[in-house]
Amino acid sequence: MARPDTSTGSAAVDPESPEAEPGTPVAEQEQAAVDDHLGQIADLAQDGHTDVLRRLGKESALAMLQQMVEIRHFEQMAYLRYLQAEIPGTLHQSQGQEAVAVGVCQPLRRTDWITSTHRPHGHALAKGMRPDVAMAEIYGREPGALGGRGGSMHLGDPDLGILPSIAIVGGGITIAPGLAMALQHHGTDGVVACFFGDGASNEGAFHEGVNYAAVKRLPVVFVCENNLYGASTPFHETTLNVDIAARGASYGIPSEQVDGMNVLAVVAAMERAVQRARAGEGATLLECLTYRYVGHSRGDARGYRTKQEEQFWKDRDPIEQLRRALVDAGVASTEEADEAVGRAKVVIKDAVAFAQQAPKAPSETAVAPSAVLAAPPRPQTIGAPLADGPEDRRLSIAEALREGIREEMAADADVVLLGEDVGVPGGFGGAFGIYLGLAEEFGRSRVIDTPISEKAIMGVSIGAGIAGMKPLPDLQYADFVFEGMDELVNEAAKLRYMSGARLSVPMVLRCPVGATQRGAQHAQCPESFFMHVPGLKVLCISDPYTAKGGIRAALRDPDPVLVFEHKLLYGSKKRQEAGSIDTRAYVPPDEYITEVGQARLRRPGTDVTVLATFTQLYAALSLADELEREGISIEVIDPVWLAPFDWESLYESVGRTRRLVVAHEAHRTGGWGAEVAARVGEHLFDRLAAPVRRVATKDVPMPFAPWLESAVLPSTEELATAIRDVAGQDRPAAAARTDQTDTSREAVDG
Amino acid sequence: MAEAIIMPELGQTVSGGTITTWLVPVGGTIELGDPLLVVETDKTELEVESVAEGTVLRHCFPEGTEVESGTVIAYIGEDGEEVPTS
Ligand SMILES: Cc1ncc(C[n+]2csc(CCOP(=O)(O)OP(=O)(O)O)c2C)c(N)n1
Ligand SMILES: [Mg+2]
Repeated sequence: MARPDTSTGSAAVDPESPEAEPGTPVAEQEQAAVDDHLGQIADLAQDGHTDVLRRLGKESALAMLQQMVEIRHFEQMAYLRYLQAEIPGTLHQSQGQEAVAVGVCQPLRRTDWITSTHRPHGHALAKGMRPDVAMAEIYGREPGALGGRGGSMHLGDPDLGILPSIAIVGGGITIAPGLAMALQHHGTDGVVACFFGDGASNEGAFHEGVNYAAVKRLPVVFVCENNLYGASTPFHETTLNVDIAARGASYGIPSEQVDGMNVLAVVAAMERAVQRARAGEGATLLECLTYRYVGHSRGDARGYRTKQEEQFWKDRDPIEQLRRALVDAGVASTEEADEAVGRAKVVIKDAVAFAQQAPKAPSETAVAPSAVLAAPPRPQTIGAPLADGPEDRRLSIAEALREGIREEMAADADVVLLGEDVGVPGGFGGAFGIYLGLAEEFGRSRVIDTPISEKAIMGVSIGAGIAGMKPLPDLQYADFVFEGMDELVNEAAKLRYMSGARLSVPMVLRCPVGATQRGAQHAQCPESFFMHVPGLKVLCISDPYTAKGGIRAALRDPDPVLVFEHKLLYGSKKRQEAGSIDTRAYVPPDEYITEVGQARLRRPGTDVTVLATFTQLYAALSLADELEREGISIEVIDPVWLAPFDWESLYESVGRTRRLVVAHEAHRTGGWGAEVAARVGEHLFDRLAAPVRRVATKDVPMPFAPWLESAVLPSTEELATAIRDVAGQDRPAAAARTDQTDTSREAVDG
Repeated sequence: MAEAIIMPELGQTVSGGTITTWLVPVGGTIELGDPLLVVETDKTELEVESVAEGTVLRHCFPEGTEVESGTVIAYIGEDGEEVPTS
């Protein structure tokens, strides 16, 4: 059933693929699909692979037997203790699938990586996690692998090459190529085994991740555990072509269907795949036919399948098969096999006892800032206004970004750029030409052109960051960030926390924002979304000094940073947009970095604080002189970082001016200004002379025509009106109206 | 020491269930993971596996009783061990 290596040519569809005759009734088609699957496993099982047994020898074979029994007992004991309400949450168990976990991990080294799923116990144990540490984690106890912050669905240990398992179906498939890229970049022959289910093969992540690994010849073995069901849904009900291995041909990589009930068959297939990967020949897809004996998760009565079907698979029990094969081949005696089984039972009994008596993870560890971010926020004082300097060092944001990125790339070989159209000779030099010249200088292995696969771009960056690189992916337009939202929000932001602070995810994602007459899908300012997500840092670049120092700070930061840059502010020579704003400013030639989480004072003032980014920052600055003449002195602050946010600097300013206007091009509702208004209300209510005002884009998708676009965007006049309005209000400060404080609070709250 | 067996959280939507059948009588022996009783929940019948091994010392409820999850429903331990009676 092995499929040929198709990487050199296009492969025809397998003529034996189980597509039913047209016109066959659906029920019969379905039955045919199931029968076909059962037939396939029976065919595959004809080869017992006893040669593998002899090659491995007695010790390894008995170790595999013991490991499979440990996994079986681990799962059963966990379930039983779960029934006794000792284990919180839920469990997904893998009884029946042990041969896949053990066979896949058999040829792997400690320094190789695995990625796993919501059903990870077997994978983690097979890759070397101690059962007591794994069990303690499932119990939520302090000595658990992840200090109780991960649990059953996120088992992992970076030191053992086990990525905290990802419970988003298909989530690991885009990350595995990134881990593999780092292994390759660092000159090792390491490999990554990526486990996922049949159900996951229908996620978009499968397509993007497998194609990426294939085209970049990355050392990944994609291991599909086809257990016929995604939760209660039979695979054939959701998939017309149930032959998952056939998909290898679509990506030009070799693939194989494997008897996943025979650990020897899995070892044999995995050895072939690993050998290719270590030799630099790229990725392989293995479809392991297997079955989970138990329900999908707790409380699954398995009403969707028959007892006969379950028996069919139990008759192929992987543990019994290996035990028999060992003895029949004369590799070990019955007594030796029994001893291995006995040892496994003791190990698991001890693991349960260990977990039961282990202390619970203390609650303060749940909220420790260092659990969320590898570099938690530090107290800041506001950054000084931009300095002047010689004319030849007055740079645009585009030039300053390129200079900062160039310096970091020169200083650190682990910094790589990834994106669409970034390095192709004669191509675009990245969106808005920011990367022009970098591919020539650093080579195309550091300026990496990717498929148009935003999920893969994010996932690869996450994996590479975890494994020691400093990836700088970019999006041509920030609007495309939603394609990679799962990777950013569920993986990049959370993997550190899920790992019990055992790893961090350094990556810097550049996102160009802002309306430039391109309509609703090339105009958004989505930065506020990410302020809502613990674990992410959000940088908004509105000036050249920050562009260079900020991008360098971001690249040196151990946490994921999203960098938002406004298209009208770039001052890029290659692409001048209508309505561009000249933001040129002095950028020192030295290798400075700016503070993460520090706001910048752009103009001091006394009457109204205006907090603004991007176009609105420049609108505020353009109004300042005129308002000054009217007797209104505005203090203009650029928050620079939305996360971590420089609250102290803002409170200090608003405490003095007692008035705040927030202006952003992001939509009004749920925009970052809403959070600012709420916080300032909570902290400075008694000091405020006027309500906090927001000036923002109307809650309307961005239209294309310039005359319609300007009706949706905030205007300079709107901003001026808001500032004049709050300047004209003078609600007495609390100190001057002690007796009224309570009633005014009620009025506001009500 | 005897283990107090509790009614597990079985259904996705309901808490507890009705004990329809005790599969091992008081005085009978049971292995870890063997079916101990049948519970009806969410209109389906589920076999509940034994979380302990030894002798079934007591059934706390007769068949047909509806029991909240978390309630002690049986004791399993060594033959002749004393267990609470209420
Ligand atoms: C993106 C996403 N969608 C849905 C779910 C809910 N879910 C959890 S496991 C599962 C079934 C997965 O099936 P498969 O990939 O075949 O893995 P198996 O459970 O069979 O090991 C589903 C639908 C999820 N966790 N993530
Ligand atoms: Mg499945």
